[in-house]
Amino acid sequence: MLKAFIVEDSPVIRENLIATLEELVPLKVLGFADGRHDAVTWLDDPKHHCDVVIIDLFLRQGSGLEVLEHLGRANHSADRVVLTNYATVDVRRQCTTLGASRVFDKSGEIDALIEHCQLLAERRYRLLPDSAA
Amino acid sequence: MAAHAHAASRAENAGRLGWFARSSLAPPIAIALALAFIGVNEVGYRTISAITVERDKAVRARMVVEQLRAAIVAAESAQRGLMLTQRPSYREGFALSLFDVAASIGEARSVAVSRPQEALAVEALVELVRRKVSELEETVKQLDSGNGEGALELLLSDIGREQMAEIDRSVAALTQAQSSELQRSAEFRDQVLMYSRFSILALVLSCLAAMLTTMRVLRHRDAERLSHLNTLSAERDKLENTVTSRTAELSDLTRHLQTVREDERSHLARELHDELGGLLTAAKLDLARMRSRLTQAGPEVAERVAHLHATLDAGIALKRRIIEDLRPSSLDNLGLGQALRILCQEWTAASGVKVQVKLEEMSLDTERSLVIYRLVQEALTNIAKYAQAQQVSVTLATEEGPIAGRPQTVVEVRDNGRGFASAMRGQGHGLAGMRFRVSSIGGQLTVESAPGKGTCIRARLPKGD
Repeated sequence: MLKAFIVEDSPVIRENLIATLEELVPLKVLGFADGRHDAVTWLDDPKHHCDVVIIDLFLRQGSGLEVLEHLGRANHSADRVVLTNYATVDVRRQCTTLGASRVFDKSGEIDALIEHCQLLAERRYRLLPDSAA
Repeated sequence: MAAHAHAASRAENAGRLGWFARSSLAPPIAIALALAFIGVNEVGYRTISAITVERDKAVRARMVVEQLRAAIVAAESAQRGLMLTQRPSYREGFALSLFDVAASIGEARSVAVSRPQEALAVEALVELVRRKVSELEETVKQLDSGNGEGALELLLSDIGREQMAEIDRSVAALTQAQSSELQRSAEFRDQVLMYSRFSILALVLSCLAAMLTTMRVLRHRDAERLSHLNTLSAERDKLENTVTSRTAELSDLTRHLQTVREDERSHLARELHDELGGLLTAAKLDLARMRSRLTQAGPEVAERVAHLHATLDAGIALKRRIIEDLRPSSLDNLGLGQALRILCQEWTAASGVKVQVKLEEMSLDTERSLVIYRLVQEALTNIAKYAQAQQVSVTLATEEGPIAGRPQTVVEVRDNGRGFASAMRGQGHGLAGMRFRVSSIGGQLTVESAPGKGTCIRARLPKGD
């Protein structure tokens, strides 16, 4: 199972996103945060391990960019993807520079996000036996 | 209270005006006084002149009468001498005396003509003198014809003495009359001089009074004018103050309304973003979950699902456009630089005109950021509407301000479009709105444009703390 962490401040989106991902992808959402501080605290905790972090840029407190920047600085092992309403060229470039592997538009690229997560899960399943061996 | 003061000052004015109306008679009075002065002086002069002429005539008449008497006395004396001594020198003297008497009679006659009041008395005197002369001549004739006794008899008779006495009386009466006339004219002259003196004194005093009055009037008018000017200037100052305070009130009100408007838009945008956005995205997620199960349900269902997908996308796009129009949430979430970049990209996508964006990284407070964002937004809207530009540049930079050590934030939007004449500058509410927004945070907006030369809108804002 792919382990995921969600950084998203809208409860409606968050719940639907978790439900959709857990239904369509072999994935388990370990937790979520609605602000920069909570997100960073959870992710920095060495007890917590996750494979993918899905980050919204506009949060209740702080911004997703700061979370990205923090994870980039910490050289975090998880794959970082951005799910935002502002997926402009510049935002995409900025997010990529800060260490995001993909940037998805909230309205138009939900399917792509799901596909990306499926890809990650597949890779993980394929890699897991290797690394286990 | 102001109304009271007004009424009081009006009443005071009315009082002063009444005083003016009366005192404005001063100039005519002064002219009348001057004319009276000239009149009195002239009448005095003429009267004195006339008196003098009359006096001269009287003096001359007196002299003539005295001469006549002297001549007749001399003639009688010569006659007596001749009769006593028979000397030829007396004969000669007698002839000369008669000649003198004749001359004096001529003069007396002219006096009688010039002084009608004495004409009768003088004629009478002349007649007496004539008779005396003929008596004298008669005596001398008898003496010459050798009738010395007859002559002596004639001499000794009382006729000659009587005649002489009559002449003396006549002369005395004339002289008396002339003396009293001179006396009267002297008195009259003194009287005229006195009247003239007092009249002139009175007139001069009146003139002085009129002059003083005029001076007082002038001083009063000056004071009145000065107080009027002061009142006017006070009124003007009050009006200016009122205008200033009203302008400040209006300015405050506009600022307040603008803030309220922005707050409301912001609130609405947040509501739309958080609630509607969440719902739409949730719907999309639901659709994604359903789709994997509905693929087997047949092409008709797949088509409806695709249509629902497209409808949701359209709804999301509309929501986003409304939100961005209401409040650039990118500004709050991503900062000014990012928000401006997004704005420019979207504008380029809509208008097809490339925007060269040159943004210096800087942190600005929300208010400033919003002003700059709205300025750029408004400028780009105007360019899209009117400018027909091919190139647009948006620049945000920090520059040294007019005060050393107080740098300014400078934002500039430049295009190479049609431009406009500066006279049309006041026309657009857009520019006025920009100007107001910029000045409300202590900045300055300059607009440079000319037909065919493009437009450059530049705002200089004091750098925040």
